[in-house]
Amino acid sequence: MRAFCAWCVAEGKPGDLGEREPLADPSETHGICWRHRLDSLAAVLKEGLPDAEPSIGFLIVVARTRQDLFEEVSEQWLSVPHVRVVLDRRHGERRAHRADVHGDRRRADRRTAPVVFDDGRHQPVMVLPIKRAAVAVEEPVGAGRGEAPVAETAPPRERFREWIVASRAITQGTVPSMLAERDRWSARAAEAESQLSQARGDLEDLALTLAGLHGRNDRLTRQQTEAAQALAAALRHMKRAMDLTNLAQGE
Amino acid sequence: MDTRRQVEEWLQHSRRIVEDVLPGLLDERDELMRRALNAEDEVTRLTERAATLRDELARSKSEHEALLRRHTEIAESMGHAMAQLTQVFEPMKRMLGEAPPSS
Repeated sequence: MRAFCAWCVAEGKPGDLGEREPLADPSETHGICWRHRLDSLAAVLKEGLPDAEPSIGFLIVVARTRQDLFEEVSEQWLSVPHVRVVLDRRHGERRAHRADVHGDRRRADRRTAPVVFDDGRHQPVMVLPIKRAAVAVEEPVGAGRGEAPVAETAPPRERFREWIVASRAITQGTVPSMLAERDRWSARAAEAESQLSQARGDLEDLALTLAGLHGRNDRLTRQQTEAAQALAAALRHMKRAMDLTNLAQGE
Repeated sequence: MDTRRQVEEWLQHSRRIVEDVLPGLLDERDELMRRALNAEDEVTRLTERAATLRDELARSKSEHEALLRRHTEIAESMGHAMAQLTQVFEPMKRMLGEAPPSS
């Protein structure tokens, strides 16, 4: 049977996905091509993953014979969280096609794509849902299983890609965050220095007012002391005058 | 421009960013942080000092009002004393037949 991408067909494109089993069946079937599948993944991620599934990520696997596509897709998905683009590490699907091996008791290939349209035999790009830990750059594939980290053993292209991802995290995450932090401190410093200037002005006004009031109080106290002394002197004079008057009256 | 030269120029530019601009940015952030925290501490200290001065100002105002009241009372007392003094001088004036001292 012949398969067509329903999205491509809807856009008026041929959307031919090639032959599918059963090959003897001449009818048509529909699926989705890898480009529209990536579009669909982008739309899903744009909407955001459900909060209940924080560990879900996606692996975009590119056929190792399609270096051109790997570069294109890597560039496109470089800074998208939850997604990692890798080259297909499998070599020729030996276990899947070893028809001469009978009674193979080894368990099935866990990397088998869940749907036929994501099968690497038919399309050069596959999208696989995985646990998010495997997507993290900080946890290279093979870590913890006795294999050397990707950063040391991977080919230059992949190491370069890892470096780009790390650099992009710094330039698009850490540095802008640092700049924003600097701006926040700058605004806080300006605000605090403005308050400080205001507080200094208030304090100066208060000190001047207080000094003026102290001066007036001192002057009042001095005047009152002088008035009390004058009053005492007047009373003494009055008493003396009364004594003199009494004396004169007596004479 | 050939690729090698392009890469070398990019490397030099990147090195300047990494060795000069980024550390400068971090230093600037640290300096701003220090300035902000110092200014905030100083504002706290001055605010406390202002509160103390306001208390002192309130006390001085009360003292000033008390002094003004006392001033009024003293003025009234002086008025009474002068009136009594005048009363004392009147009989003396009559008796002595001469005017009391003007002072």
